[in-house]
Amino acid sequence: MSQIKSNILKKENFNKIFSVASLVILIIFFTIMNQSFIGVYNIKNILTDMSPLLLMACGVSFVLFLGSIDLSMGSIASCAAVMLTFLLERMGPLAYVVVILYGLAAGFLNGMLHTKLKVPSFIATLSTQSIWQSAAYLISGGMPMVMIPAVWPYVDWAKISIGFLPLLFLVAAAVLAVCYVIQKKMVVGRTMLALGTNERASRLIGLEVVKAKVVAFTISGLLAAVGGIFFAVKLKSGIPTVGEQYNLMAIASAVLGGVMLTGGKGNVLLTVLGVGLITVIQNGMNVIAVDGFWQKIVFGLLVIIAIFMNTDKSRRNLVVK
Amino acid sequence: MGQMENTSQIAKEFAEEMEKKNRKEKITNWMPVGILVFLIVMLSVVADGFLTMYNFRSILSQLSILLVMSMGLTFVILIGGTDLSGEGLGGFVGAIVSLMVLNTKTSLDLGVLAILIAVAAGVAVGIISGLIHVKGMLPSFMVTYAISSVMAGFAVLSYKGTPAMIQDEFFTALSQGSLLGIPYLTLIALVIFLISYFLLEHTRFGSYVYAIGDNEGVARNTGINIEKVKIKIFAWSGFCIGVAGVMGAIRVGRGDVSIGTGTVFPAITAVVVGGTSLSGGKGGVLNSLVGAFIVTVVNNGLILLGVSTYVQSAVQGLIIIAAVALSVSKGNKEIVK
Repeated sequence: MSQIKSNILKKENFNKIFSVASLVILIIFFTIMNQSFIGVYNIKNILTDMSPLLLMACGVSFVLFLGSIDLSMGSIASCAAVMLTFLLERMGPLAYVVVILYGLAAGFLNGMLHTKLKVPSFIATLSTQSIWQSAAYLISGGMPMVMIPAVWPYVDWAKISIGFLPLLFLVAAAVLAVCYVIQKKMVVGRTMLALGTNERASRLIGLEVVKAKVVAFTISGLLAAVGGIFFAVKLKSGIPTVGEQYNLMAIASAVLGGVMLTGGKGNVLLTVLGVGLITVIQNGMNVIAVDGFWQKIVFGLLVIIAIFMNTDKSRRNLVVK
Repeated sequence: MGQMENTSQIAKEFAEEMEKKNRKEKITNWMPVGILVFLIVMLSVVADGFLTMYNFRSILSQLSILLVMSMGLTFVILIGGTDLSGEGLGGFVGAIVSLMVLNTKTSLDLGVLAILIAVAAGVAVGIISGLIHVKGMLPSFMVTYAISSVMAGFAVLSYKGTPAMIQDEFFTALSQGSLLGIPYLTLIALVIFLISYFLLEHTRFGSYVYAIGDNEGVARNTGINIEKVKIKIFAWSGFCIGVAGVMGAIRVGRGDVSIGTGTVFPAITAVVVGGTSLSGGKGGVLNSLVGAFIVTVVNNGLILLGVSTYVQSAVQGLIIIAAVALSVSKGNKEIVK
């Protein structure tokens, strides 16, 4: 009995152990390759780079808890970045409010399409992904938009750091803490995990399933938009494709942190592991000057490996679509 | 005696009900064709230059790659899966085929053999996707999404920076020529369509595809080797993506990774709008042919009406949501993930 238990424990922790171990090995490897990797300047860089991905990974975790998926985060982030750049010139700091409201609305829309029209989440979010990508292109005219110097005072907060901790990272960490509270202490968060495990049973005991789903998608949309804000203020520009590759990375981070794609299992705090691993790989590749296309290959493989290690293969007759 | 009457009464009612259901199904089956006709009539009235021979030819030309892409996807969607690998894989196949024919970058000049190798690469990647999906028990859309990213990386890696320009005259001829007014690329697409139709409607493989899509558990219990069929399906999808990638390279004349960009979403739209159900088991390649025409006609109409190209994919997004929302069952107990 105890052996069975320890086996289960081992299996469940495998992804986390894998993430931690690879993180340590990679940090040592990149430091040997280039000493400046572990310098204060680069650490600050890594933490800043981590912040938007951390937000998005945290947001998508809630959707993954349901056993659903959100493929629209990347373009919501792109659209938010472009929107912020566009609106700061015209309405000042109020632009932040508008973009945050946009994120809420975009996430809510995903939730409604999925729950009310009963469209499978991957196809609903794939569709909204194309809608928001179009919107981003339309606002920016297809070209990157650069912020005019007049609005720089509104975005300079992105450069502030306390010690070696950038403000962007602190904000992301605070959001992560709030998400942890939602997951662990609030009924809606616990409902997400419950319905991810067994939706029928959750309905029968009277949990508010639809509400939990809509909230999960709304959080995901909101955090994608905040991630987009981070991209924009970091680069002082709105690039209509900036979020594109982050969708896959966000999902990969969550899975590397132990979130199961089949739903019902995971912890938002641990997404930090996956985000750390992915950002270190990305940053390390830049530091030792590896071409960008290798990153796509590595991330793609990483996703497959991470999910592979995380799935329960013991049920032989399971139907996987 | 009374019992006999009773039974025949029940049989009669049952027959009536079945007929009603069949009639209803027939109407839903013809719905996409109705939509297509409606669109054509509408656009002929509103859009200047829609109802011309020239535009008809350009619709046929725009249809070609989309049709090939949607043929492979139809099989995958029929079993309730998805293949999102087209963007990266299509780009990869396009990139390597340009490197293997007479081009500006390498000294290779393999001609038609290059096409065979490139399409074979597409099949190989399709098989890999299928294997990971089946053996690893991972959801197909996630596997193929990741594979797409990997192959996009390999595509750029293959030409390191600047894509190769195709100089082979055979390729240039293919991209511009036509037979009886139908562009060569469209003819290739129609051949792929006919092969797909044959595979799906007249082979055992095809009936297995429907059986798995209808109910995988039952199909398994009747002794169908589900894993093998599924891997074959992904291989076929890889084949179609490969052909589409080569066609893309022929069209643009160079092996850029962007050949694949934006090809998957319209293909999914075509399959779904044509009436193939995302949950599997219902639909077919004829549906996808109609769906591909609908998507192409809509895009063509939007261009003629002067709508920004950026809006096209948004419109596709709306169409796909509407189509799926209308086709899914509205039962309250249904669990949708």
